[in-house]
Amino acid sequence: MKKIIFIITPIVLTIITVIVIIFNIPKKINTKIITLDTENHFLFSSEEKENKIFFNIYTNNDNLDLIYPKNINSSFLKDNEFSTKLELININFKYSESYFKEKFFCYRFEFKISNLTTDKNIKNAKLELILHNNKKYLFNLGTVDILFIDDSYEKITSFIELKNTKTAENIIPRVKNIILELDKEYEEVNEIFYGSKFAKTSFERINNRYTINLPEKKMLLSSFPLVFVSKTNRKYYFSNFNYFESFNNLETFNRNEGQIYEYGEK
Amino acid sequence: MKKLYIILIITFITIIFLNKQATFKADIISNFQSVELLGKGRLLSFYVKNENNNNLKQELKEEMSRIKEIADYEWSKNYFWGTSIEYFNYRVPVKFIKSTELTIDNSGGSTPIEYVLKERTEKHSKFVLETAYGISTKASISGKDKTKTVSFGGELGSKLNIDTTLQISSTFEQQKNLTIKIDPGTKLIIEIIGYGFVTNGVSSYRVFWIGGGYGYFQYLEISSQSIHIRKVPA
Repeated sequence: MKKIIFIITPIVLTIITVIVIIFNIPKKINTKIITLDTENHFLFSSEEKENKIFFNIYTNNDNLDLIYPKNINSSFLKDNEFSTKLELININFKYSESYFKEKFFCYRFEFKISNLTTDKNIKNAKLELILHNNKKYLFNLGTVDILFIDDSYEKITSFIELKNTKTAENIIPRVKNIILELDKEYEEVNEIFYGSKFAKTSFERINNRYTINLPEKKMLLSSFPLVFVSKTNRKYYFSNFNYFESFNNLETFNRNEGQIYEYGEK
Repeated sequence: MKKLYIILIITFITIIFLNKQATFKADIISNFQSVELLGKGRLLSFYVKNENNNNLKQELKEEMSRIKEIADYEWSKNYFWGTSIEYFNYRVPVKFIKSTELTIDNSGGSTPIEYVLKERTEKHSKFVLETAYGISTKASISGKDKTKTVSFGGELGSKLNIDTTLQISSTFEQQKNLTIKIDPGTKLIIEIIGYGFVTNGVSSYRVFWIGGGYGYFQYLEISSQSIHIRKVPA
Protein backbone atom coordinates (compact mmCIF):
# COMPACT_ATOMS: atom_id res chain seq x y z
CA MET A 1 0.00 0.00 0.00
CA LYS A 2 2.77 2.37 1.04
CA LYS A 3 4.57 1.60 -2.17
CA ILE A 4 1.56 2.49 -4.27
CA ILE A 5 1.24 5.84 -2.52
CA PHE A 6 4.93 6.51 -3.09
CA ILE A 7 4.50 5.79 -6.78
CA ILE A 8 1.19 7.57 -7.34
CA THR A 9 1.92 10.79 -5.39
CA PRO A 10 4.92 11.88 -7.50
CA ILE A 11 2.97 11.13 -10.66
CA VAL A 12 -0.01 13.21 -9.53
CA LEU A 13 2.26 16.03 -8.37
CA THR A 14 4.14 15.97 -11.66
CA ILE A 15 0.89 16.23 -13.60
CA ILE A 16 -0.32 19.15 -11.45
CA THR A 17 3.07 20.88 -11.77
CA VAL A 18 3.02 20.50 -15.55
CA ILE A 19 -0.51 21.90 -15.69
CA VAL A 20 0.49 24.89 -13.55
CA ILE A 21 3.56 25.49 -15.71
CA ILE A 22 1.50 25.32 -18.91
CA PHE A 23 -0.99 27.84 -17.52
CA ASN A 24 1.86 30.06 -16.49
CA ILE A 25 3.61 30.22 -19.85
CA PRO A 26 2.97 33.71 -21.22
CA LYS A 27 0.60 33.53 -24.13
CA LYS A 28 1.98 34.67 -27.43
CA ILE A 29 0.55 38.11 -27.92
CA ASN A 30 -0.70 39.21 -31.27
CA THR A 31 0.71 42.73 -30.96
CA LYS A 32 -1.68 45.57 -31.63
CA ILE A 33 -0.75 49.24 -31.59
CA ILE A 34 -3.47 51.85 -31.50
CA THR A 35 -3.67 55.63 -31.65
CA LEU A 36 -6.83 57.67 -31.21
CA ASP A 37 -8.10 60.65 -33.16
CA THR A 38 -6.90 63.47 -30.93
CA GLU A 39 -6.91 67.25 -31.06
CA ASN A 40 -3.37 68.22 -30.07
CA HIS A 41 -2.65 71.86 -29.28
CA PHE A 42 0.69 73.25 -28.20
CA LEU A 43 1.72 76.79 -27.39
CA PHE A 44 5.31 77.96 -27.16
CA SER A 45 6.19 81.32 -25.74
CA SER A 46 9.54 83.03 -26.05
CA GLU A 47 10.39 82.27 -22.43
CA GLU A 48 10.22 78.49 -22.95
CA LYS A 49 13.54 76.79 -23.11
CA GLU A 50 12.21 73.48 -24.32
CA ASN A 51 9.38 73.18 -26.78
CA LYS A 52 7.81 69.94 -25.63
CA ILE A 53 5.06 68.02 -27.34
CA PHE A 54 3.57 64.65 -26.48
CA PHE A 55 1.37 61.93 -27.93
CA ASN A 56 -0.25 58.80 -26.54
CA ILE A 57 0.17 55.36 -28.03
CA TYR A 58 -1.70 52.25 -26.87
CA THR A 59 -0.47 48.70 -27.16
CA ASN A 60 -1.39 45.30 -25.79
CA ASN A 61 2.28 44.32 -25.68
CA ASP A 62 4.11 45.88 -22.73
CA ASN A 63 7.38 44.54 -24.04
CA LEU A 64 7.16 46.15 -27.45
CA ASP A 65 10.45 47.44 -28.92
CA LEU A 66 8.83 50.83 -29.38
CA ILE A 67 8.35 51.62 -25.70
CA TYR A 68 12.06 51.62 -24.91
CA PRO A 69 13.68 54.99 -25.70
CA LYS A 70 17.03 53.31 -26.35
CA ASN A 71 15.54 51.50 -29.36
CA ILE A 72 14.40 54.66 -31.10
CA ASN A 73 16.81 56.22 -33.54
CA SER A 74 14.83 59.11 -34.96
CA SER A 75 11.32 60.48 -34.96
CA PHE A 76 9.37 62.84 -37.20
CA LEU A 77 6.13 64.74 -37.09
CA LYS A 78 4.72 64.86 -40.58
CA ASP A 79 1.82 64.97 -42.97
CA ASN A 80 1.77 64.51 -46.73
CA GLU A 81 3.75 67.68 -47.51
CA PHE A 82 5.50 68.53 -44.31
CA SER A 83 7.99 66.84 -42.02
CA THR A 84 9.97 68.00 -39.00
CA LYS A 85 12.42 66.13 -36.83
CA LEU A 86 11.56 65.46 -33.22
CA GLU A 87 13.88 64.67 -30.38
CA LEU A 88 12.63 61.97 -28.05
CA ILE A 89 12.79 62.99 -24.39
CA ASN A 90 11.03 60.16 -22.67
CA ILE A 91 8.37 57.45 -22.83
CA ASN A 92 6.16 57.06 -19.78
CA PHE A 93 3.56 54.50 -18.86
CA LYS A 94 0.25 56.26 -18.22
CA TYR A 95 -2.40 53.67 -17.48
CA SER A 96 -3.78 50.31 -18.52
CA GLU A 97 -7.28 49.50 -19.63
CA SER A 98 -9.23 46.47 -20.67
CA TYR A 99 -10.39 46.54 -24.29
CA PHE A 100 -12.09 43.58 -25.98
CA LYS A 101 -10.90 41.38 -23.11
CA GLU A 102 -7.29 42.35 -23.72
CA LYS A 103 -5.13 44.50 -21.50
CA PHE A 104 -3.86 47.61 -23.28
CA PHE A 105 -1.12 49.89 -21.99
CA CYS A 106 -1.07 53.59 -22.74
CA TYR A 107 2.32 55.24 -23.14
CA ARG A 108 3.04 58.92 -23.40
CA PHE A 109 5.78 59.79 -25.88
CA GLU A 110 7.38 63.11 -25.07
CA PHE A 111 9.42 64.98 -27.67
CA LYS A 112 11.32 68.19 -28.07
CA ILE A 113 10.49 70.06 -31.24
CA SER A 114 13.34 72.42 -32.08
CA ASN A 115 13.37 72.83 -35.85
CA LEU A 116 10.00 74.48 -36.10
CA THR A 117 9.75 78.25 -35.58
CA THR A 118 6.45 79.20 -37.19
CA ASP A 119 2.85 78.31 -36.44
CA LYS A 120 1.68 75.04 -37.88
CA ASN A 121 -1.77 73.53 -38.22
CA ILE A 122 -1.54 69.92 -39.38
CA LYS A 123 -4.84 68.25 -40.25
CA ASN A 124 -3.80 64.62 -40.69
CA ALA A 125 -0.71 64.54 -38.56
CA LYS A 126 1.46 61.45 -38.43
CA LEU A 127 4.22 60.38 -36.11
CA GLU A 128 7.04 58.42 -37.67
CA LEU A 129 9.38 56.46 -35.44
CA ILE A 130 12.48 54.81 -36.88
CA LEU A 131 14.23 52.26 -34.71
CA HIS A 132 17.93 51.46 -34.71
CA ASN A 133 17.20 48.27 -36.64
CA ASN A 134 15.58 50.42 -39.36
CA LYS A 135 12.09 49.25 -38.47
CA LYS A 136 9.66 52.05 -39.23
CA TYR A 137 6.42 52.86 -37.48
CA LEU A 138 3.93 55.42 -38.76
CA PHE A 139 1.02 56.45 -36.55
CA ASN A 140 -1.96 58.67 -37.20
CA LEU A 141 -2.36 61.30 -34.51
CA GLY A 142 -5.35 63.41 -35.50
CA THR A 143 -4.69 67.13 -35.68
CA VAL A 144 -1.64 68.97 -34.37
CA ASP A 145 -1.84 72.70 -33.85
CA ILE A 146 1.36 74.49 -32.88
CA LEU A 147 1.35 78.15 -31.95
CA PHE A 148 4.30 80.42 -31.25
CA ILE A 149 3.69 83.62 -29.33
CA ASP A 150 5.97 86.60 -28.79
CA ASP A 151 6.54 88.90 -25.83
CA SER A 152 3.42 90.93 -26.55
CA TYR A 153 1.46 88.16 -24.82
CA GLU A 154 1.21 88.31 -21.07
CA LYS A 155 1.22 85.10 -19.07
CA ILE A 156 -1.76 84.52 -16.74
CA THR A 157 -0.59 83.49 -13.30
CA SER A 158 -3.20 85.04 -11.10
CA PHE A 159 -6.65 83.51 -11.06
CA ILE A 160 -9.30 82.74 -8.47
CA GLU A 161 -10.67 79.54 -9.88
CA LEU A 162 -9.95 77.03 -12.61
CA LYS A 163 -12.07 74.00 -13.23
CA ASN A 164 -13.49 72.10 -16.16
CA THR A 165 -16.46 69.99 -17.12
CA LYS A 166 -15.69 66.92 -19.10
CA THR A 167 -18.06 65.02 -21.39
CA ALA A 168 -19.97 62.18 -19.67
CA GLU A 169 -17.93 59.17 -18.68
CA ASN A 170 -19.29 56.92 -21.40
CA ILE A 171 -18.62 59.19 -24.38
CA ILE A 172 -15.43 60.36 -26.07
CA PRO A 173 -13.35 62.17 -23.44
CA ARG A 174 -13.24 65.88 -24.14
CA VAL A 175 -13.31 69.10 -22.22
CA LYS A 176 -16.82 70.52 -22.53
CA ASN A 177 -16.21 73.81 -20.82
CA ILE A 178 -13.75 75.58 -18.61
CA ILE A 179 -14.53 77.96 -15.81
CA LEU A 180 -11.73 80.43 -15.32
CA GLU A 181 -12.07 83.34 -12.96
CA LEU A 182 -9.27 85.82 -13.54
CA ASP A 183 -7.97 88.31 -11.06
CA LYS A 184 -8.89 91.97 -11.47
CA GLU A 185 -5.53 92.91 -12.95
CA TYR A 186 -6.62 91.48 -16.30
CA GLU A 187 -8.72 93.54 -18.68
CA GLU A 188 -12.08 92.43 -19.98
CA VAL A 189 -11.57 89.83 -22.68
CA ASN A 190 -13.16 89.99 -26.09
CA GLU A 191 -11.95 86.87 -27.85
CA ILE A 192 -10.74 83.49 -26.62
CA PHE A 193 -8.85 80.84 -28.60
CA TYR A 194 -7.85 77.39 -27.45
CA GLY A 195 -4.72 77.23 -29.53
CA SER A 196 -4.17 79.07 -32.77
CA LYS A 197 -6.58 81.32 -34.66
CA PHE A 198 -8.14 78.16 -36.10
CA ALA A 199 -9.58 77.33 -32.72
CA LYS A 200 -11.84 80.16 -31.60
CA THR A 201 -14.28 79.43 -28.80
CA SER A 202 -17.50 80.90 -27.55
CA PHE A 203 -17.73 82.02 -23.94
CA GLU A 204 -19.93 83.67 -21.34
CA ARG A 205 -18.65 86.27 -18.93
CA ILE A 206 -19.84 87.40 -15.52
CA ASN A 207 -17.42 90.01 -14.19
CA ASN A 208 -14.06 88.29 -14.53
CA ARG A 209 -15.47 84.78 -14.47
CA TYR A 210 -15.38 83.15 -17.90
CA THR A 211 -17.21 80.01 -18.92
CA ILE A 212 -15.40 78.89 -22.04
CA ASN A 213 -17.23 76.42 -24.27
CA LEU A 214 -15.22 74.01 -26.34
CA PRO A 215 -16.74 72.74 -29.61
CA GLU A 216 -18.19 69.24 -29.83
CA LYS A 217 -16.18 66.84 -31.94
CA LYS A 218 -15.53 63.13 -32.01
CA MET A 219 -11.92 63.68 -31.02
CA LEU A 220 -10.12 63.41 -27.73
CA LEU A 221 -9.26 66.78 -26.21
CA SER A 222 -7.78 67.14 -22.76
CA SER A 223 -4.76 69.40 -23.04
CA PHE A 224 -4.53 72.82 -24.69
CA PRO A 225 -3.52 76.43 -24.07
CA LEU A 226 -5.85 79.43 -23.96
CA VAL A 227 -5.24 82.75 -25.66
CA PHE A 228 -7.19 85.85 -24.65
CA VAL A 229 -7.53 89.13 -26.51
CA SER A 230 -8.98 92.14 -24.73
CA LYS A 231 -11.00 95.01 -26.22
CA THR A 232 -7.94 97.22 -26.17
CA ASN A 233 -5.99 94.47 -27.91
CA ARG A 234 -4.06 93.36 -24.87
CA LYS A 235 -3.13 89.73 -25.19
CA TYR A 236 -2.91 87.13 -22.45
CA TYR A 237 -2.17 83.44 -22.52
CA PHE A 238 -2.72 80.53 -20.24
CA SER A 239 -0.10 77.82 -20.83
CA ASN A 240 -0.85 74.34 -22.06
CA PHE A 241 -2.79 72.66 -19.34
CA ASN A 242 -3.92 69.07 -19.01
CA TYR A 243 -7.44 69.43 -17.69
CA PHE A 244 -8.21 65.78 -17.09
CA GLU A 245 -6.88 62.28 -17.41
CA SER A 246 -9.23 59.59 -18.67
CA PHE A 247 -8.72 55.88 -18.32
CA ASN A 248 -11.25 54.17 -20.59
CA ASN A 249 -10.35 55.84 -23.87
CA LEU A 250 -10.30 52.82 -26.19
CA GLU A 251 -13.63 51.58 -24.92
CA THR A 252 -15.35 54.97 -25.19
CA PHE A 253 -13.95 55.57 -28.67
CA ASN A 254 -15.19 52.22 -29.82
CA ARG A 255 -18.62 52.70 -28.27
CA ASN A 256 -19.09 56.14 -29.82
CA GLU A 257 -17.62 55.31 -33.22
CA GLY A 258 -14.63 57.57 -32.73
CA GLN A 259 -11.74 57.14 -35.12
CA ILE A 260 -9.42 54.40 -33.85
CA TYR A 261 -6.22 53.97 -35.85
CA GLU A 262 -4.92 50.47 -35.57
CA TYR A 263 -1.33 50.25 -36.71
CA GLY A 264 -0.67 47.72 -39.42
CA GLU A 265 2.73 46.94 -40.86
CA LYS A 266 2.78 48.07 -44.44
CA MET B 1 12.55 7.67 -4.49
CA LYS B 2 12.17 9.68 -1.28
CA LYS B 3 14.50 12.39 -2.62
CA LEU B 4 12.53 12.65 -5.83
CA TYR B 5 9.38 12.94 -3.77
CA ILE B 6 10.78 15.85 -1.72
CA ILE B 7 12.12 17.64 -4.80
CA LEU B 8 8.74 17.36 -6.47
CA ILE B 9 6.90 18.72 -3.45
CA ILE B 10 9.29 21.69 -3.19
CA THR B 11 8.92 22.42 -6.92
CA PHE B 12 5.17 22.15 -6.62
CA ILE B 13 4.96 24.57 -3.68
CA THR B 14 7.36 27.05 -5.31
CA ILE B 15 5.34 27.10 -8.52
CA ILE B 16 2.06 27.55 -6.69
CA PHE B 17 3.54 30.53 -4.82
CA LEU B 18 5.10 32.02 -7.93
CA ASN B 19 1.75 31.78 -9.63
CA LYS B 20 0.21 34.28 -7.22
CA GLN B 21 -0.67 37.48 -9.00
CA ALA B 22 0.50 40.76 -7.61
CA THR B 23 -2.28 42.85 -6.14
CA PHE B 24 -2.22 46.55 -5.42
CA LYS B 25 -2.98 48.13 -2.16
CA ALA B 26 -6.57 49.11 -2.57
CA ASP B 27 -8.02 52.43 -1.52
CA ILE B 28 -11.22 52.34 0.47
CA ILE B 29 -14.17 54.38 -0.71
CA SER B 30 -15.28 55.32 2.79
CA ASN B 31 -11.91 57.02 3.31
CA PHE B 32 -12.57 59.41 0.44
CA GLN B 33 -13.18 63.02 1.23
CA SER B 34 -16.52 62.98 -0.56
CA VAL B 35 -18.47 60.65 -2.80
CA GLU B 36 -21.47 61.86 -4.74
CA LEU B 37 -23.64 59.45 -6.69
CA LEU B 38 -24.66 60.91 -10.04
CA GLY B 39 -27.17 58.19 -10.85
CA LYS B 40 -29.82 56.21 -9.00
CA GLY B 41 -28.26 53.97 -6.40
CA ARG B 42 -26.65 53.83 -2.98
CA LEU B 43 -23.26 53.10 -1.53
CA LEU B 44 -22.83 49.93 0.51
CA SER B 45 -22.27 51.94 3.68
CA PHE B 46 -25.84 53.23 3.45
CA TYR B 47 -27.32 49.71 3.64
CA VAL B 48 -25.04 48.64 6.45
CA LYS B 49 -25.75 51.79 8.42
CA ASN B 50 -29.52 51.61 8.05
CA GLU B 51 -30.00 47.88 8.56
CA ASN B 52 -31.90 48.25 11.82
CA ASN B 53 -33.24 51.74 11.26
CA ASN B 54 -37.04 51.77 11.35
CA ASN B 55 -37.36 55.52 11.07
CA LEU B 56 -36.58 55.64 7.39
CA LYS B 57 -38.76 57.32 4.82
CA GLN B 58 -41.06 54.99 2.88
CA GLU B 59 -38.91 55.17 -0.26
CA LEU B 60 -35.77 54.21 1.65
CA LYS B 61 -37.62 51.43 3.50
CA GLU B 62 -38.54 49.98 0.11
CA GLU B 63 -34.92 50.19 -0.98
CA MET B 64 -33.79 48.38 2.18
CA SER B 65 -36.31 45.59 1.66
CA ARG B 66 -35.19 45.25 -1.98
CA ILE B 67 -31.63 44.75 -0.78
CA LYS B 68 -32.70 42.23 1.85
CA GLU B 69 -34.57 40.24 -0.78
CA ILE B 70 -31.48 40.16 -2.99
CA ALA B 71 -29.33 39.06 -0.05
CA ASP B 72 -31.83 36.35 0.95
CA TYR B 73 -32.00 35.09 -2.60
CA GLU B 74 -28.22 34.91 -2.81
CA TRP B 75 -28.05 32.82 0.34
CA SER B 76 -30.87 30.51 -0.71
CA LYS B 77 -29.05 29.48 -3.87
CA ASN B 78 -27.82 25.93 -3.83
CA TYR B 79 -24.92 24.92 -5.99
CA PHE B 80 -22.04 22.51 -5.94
CA TRP B 81 -18.96 24.65 -6.20
CA GLY B 82 -17.81 28.16 -6.97
CA THR B 83 -18.61 31.81 -6.53
CA SER B 84 -21.99 33.41 -7.03
CA ILE B 85 -22.90 37.10 -7.11
CA GLU B 86 -26.00 39.29 -7.01
CA TYR B 87 -25.84 43.03 -7.56
CA PHE B 88 -27.47 45.71 -5.43
CA ASN B 89 -26.39 48.50 -7.76
CA TYR B 90 -24.52 48.09 -11.01
CA ARG B 91 -22.18 50.71 -12.45
CA VAL B 92 -23.76 53.81 -10.92
CA PRO B 93 -21.89 56.94 -12.11
CA VAL B 94 -20.11 58.65 -9.27
CA LYS B 95 -18.06 61.78 -8.62
CA PHE B 96 -15.56 61.78 -5.83
CA ILE B 97 -12.80 63.79 -4.18
CA LYS B 98 -10.21 61.37 -2.93
CA SER B 99 -8.42 63.95 -0.84
CA THR B 100 -7.34 67.54 -1.17
CA GLU B 101 -4.05 67.44 -2.99
CA LEU B 102 -2.66 70.63 -1.67
CA THR B 103 -3.47 73.70 0.42
CA ILE B 104 -1.11 76.65 0.54
CA ASP B 105 -1.92 79.36 3.00
CA ASN B 106 -0.59 82.87 2.58
CA SER B 107 -2.58 84.45 5.39
CA GLY B 108 0.41 85.80 7.29
CA GLY B 109 2.47 87.01 4.38
CA SER B 110 2.65 90.49 2.96
CA THR B 111 3.92 89.54 -0.51
CA PRO B 112 2.40 87.11 -2.99
CA ILE B 113 3.77 83.56 -3.11
CA GLU B 114 4.40 82.02 -6.51
CA TYR B 115 3.51 78.37 -6.50
CA VAL B 116 4.64 76.15 -9.34
CA LEU B 117 2.39 73.20 -10.09
CA LYS B 118 4.69 70.39 -11.13
CA GLU B 119 4.11 67.01 -12.61
CA ARG B 120 3.76 64.26 -10.08
CA THR B 121 3.69 60.56 -10.68
CA GLU B 122 2.27 57.83 -8.52
CA LYS B 123 0.92 54.43 -9.34
CA HIS B 124 -2.36 53.12 -8.06
CA SER B 125 -5.03 50.64 -8.96
CA LYS B 126 -7.80 51.57 -11.34
CA PHE B 127 -10.27 49.73 -9.13
CA VAL B 128 -11.05 50.78 -5.59
CA LEU B 129 -12.25 47.74 -3.71
CA GLU B 130 -14.08 47.16 -0.49
CA THR B 131 -14.77 44.01 1.58
CA ALA B 132 -15.82 40.62 0.43
CA TYR B 133 -16.49 37.36 2.20
CA GLY B 134 -17.63 37.44 5.78
CA ILE B 135 -18.43 34.36 7.76
CA SER B 136 -22.10 34.92 8.29
CA THR B 137 -24.95 32.47 8.27
CA LYS B 138 -27.62 35.11 8.12
CA ALA B 139 -28.85 36.46 4.87
CA SER B 140 -29.52 39.94 6.12
CA ILE B 141 -27.23 42.91 6.00
CA SER B 142 -25.07 42.67 9.03
CA GLY B 143 -23.95 45.91 10.53
CA LYS B 144 -21.33 44.25 12.66
CA ASP B 145 -17.90 44.09 11.25
CA LYS B 146 -17.81 40.40 10.53
CA THR B 147 -16.29 40.83 7.13
CA LYS B 148 -12.71 40.29 6.22
CA THR B 149 -11.04 41.87 3.23
CA VAL B 150 -9.94 39.49 0.57
CA SER B 151 -8.45 39.98 -2.84
CA PHE B 152 -10.82 40.63 -5.69
CA GLY B 153 -8.64 38.49 -7.89
CA GLY B 154 -9.51 34.93 -8.71
CA GLU B 155 -13.05 33.78 -9.33
CA LEU B 156 -14.83 36.73 -7.73
CA GLY B 157 -12.74 39.16 -9.77
CA SER B 158 -13.34 37.35 -13.02
CA LYS B 159 -17.06 37.01 -12.33
CA LEU B 160 -17.30 40.73 -11.63
CA ASN B 161 -15.25 41.31 -14.75
CA ILE B 162 -12.68 43.43 -12.95
CA ASP B 163 -8.97 43.26 -13.50
CA THR B 164 -7.15 44.27 -10.36
CA THR B 165 -3.88 44.56 -12.25
CA LEU B 166 -5.07 47.60 -14.21
CA GLN B 167 -3.16 50.68 -13.12
CA ILE B 168 -3.16 54.43 -13.33
CA SER B 169 0.24 56.01 -13.22
CA SER B 170 -0.21 59.67 -12.52
CA THR B 171 -2.46 62.15 -10.85
CA PHE B 172 -1.91 65.08 -13.14
CA GLU B 173 0.42 65.25 -16.03
CA GLN B 174 1.41 68.59 -17.46
CA GLN B 175 3.44 69.57 -20.43
CA LYS B 176 4.61 72.63 -18.58
CA ASN B 177 4.71 73.72 -15.01
CA LEU B 178 1.94 76.13 -14.14
CA THR B 179 2.78 79.15 -12.00
CA ILE B 180 0.03 80.40 -9.72
CA LYS B 181 0.26 83.58 -7.71
CA ILE B 182 -1.12 83.38 -4.16
CA ASP B 183 -1.85 86.84 -2.81
CA PRO B 184 -1.48 87.70 0.87
CA GLY B 185 -4.58 86.80 2.82
CA THR B 186 -5.55 84.02 0.43
CA LYS B 187 -5.23 80.26 0.35
CA LEU B 188 -4.72 78.04 -2.67
CA ILE B 189 -6.57 74.73 -2.78
CA ILE B 190 -5.93 72.08 -5.39
CA GLU B 191 -8.26 69.13 -5.59
CA ILE B 192 -8.29 66.12 -7.82
CA ILE B 193 -11.86 65.27 -8.69
CA GLY B 194 -12.46 61.78 -9.92
CA TYR B 195 -15.26 60.20 -11.87
CA GLY B 196 -16.15 56.57 -12.14
CA PHE B 197 -18.69 53.84 -11.60
CA VAL B 198 -19.71 52.13 -8.39
CA THR B 199 -20.94 48.56 -8.24
CA ASN B 200 -22.00 46.76 -5.09
CA GLY B 201 -23.73 43.56 -4.14
CA VAL B 202 -23.53 40.32 -2.31
CA SER B 203 -21.42 37.31 -3.03
CA SER B 204 -21.00 33.81 -1.68
CA TYR B 205 -18.92 30.80 -2.46
CA ARG B 206 -19.64 27.16 -1.90
CA VAL B 207 -17.53 24.07 -1.71
CA PHE B 208 -19.42 20.76 -2.07
CA TRP B 209 -22.74 22.56 -1.49
CA ILE B 210 -21.44 23.91 1.80
CA GLY B 211 -21.30 27.68 2.24
CA GLY B 212 -17.66 28.71 2.31
CA GLY B 213 -18.22 32.41 2.79
CA TYR B 214 -20.80 35.10 2.35
CA GLY B 215 -20.52 38.85 2.30
CA TYR B 216 -20.85 42.15 0.58
CA PHE B 217 -18.57 43.72 -1.93
CA GLN B 218 -18.21 47.13 -3.47
CA TYR B 219 -15.87 48.42 -6.07
CA LEU B 220 -15.33 51.69 -7.82
CA GLU B 221 -13.83 51.87 -11.26
CA ILE B 222 -12.01 55.16 -11.78
CA SER B 223 -12.65 56.39 -15.29
CA SER B 224 -11.21 59.90 -15.19
CA GLN B 225 -9.68 62.56 -12.99
CA SER B 226 -9.92 66.32 -13.30
CA ILE B 227 -8.10 69.09 -11.56
CA HIS B 228 -9.80 71.91 -9.68
CA ILE B 229 -7.79 74.92 -8.53
CA ARG B 230 -9.26 77.69 -6.41
CA LYS B 231 -8.11 80.57 -4.31
CA VAL B 232 -10.14 81.44 -1.25
CA PRO B 233 -9.74 84.05 1.48
CA ALA B 234 -7.53 82.58 4.18
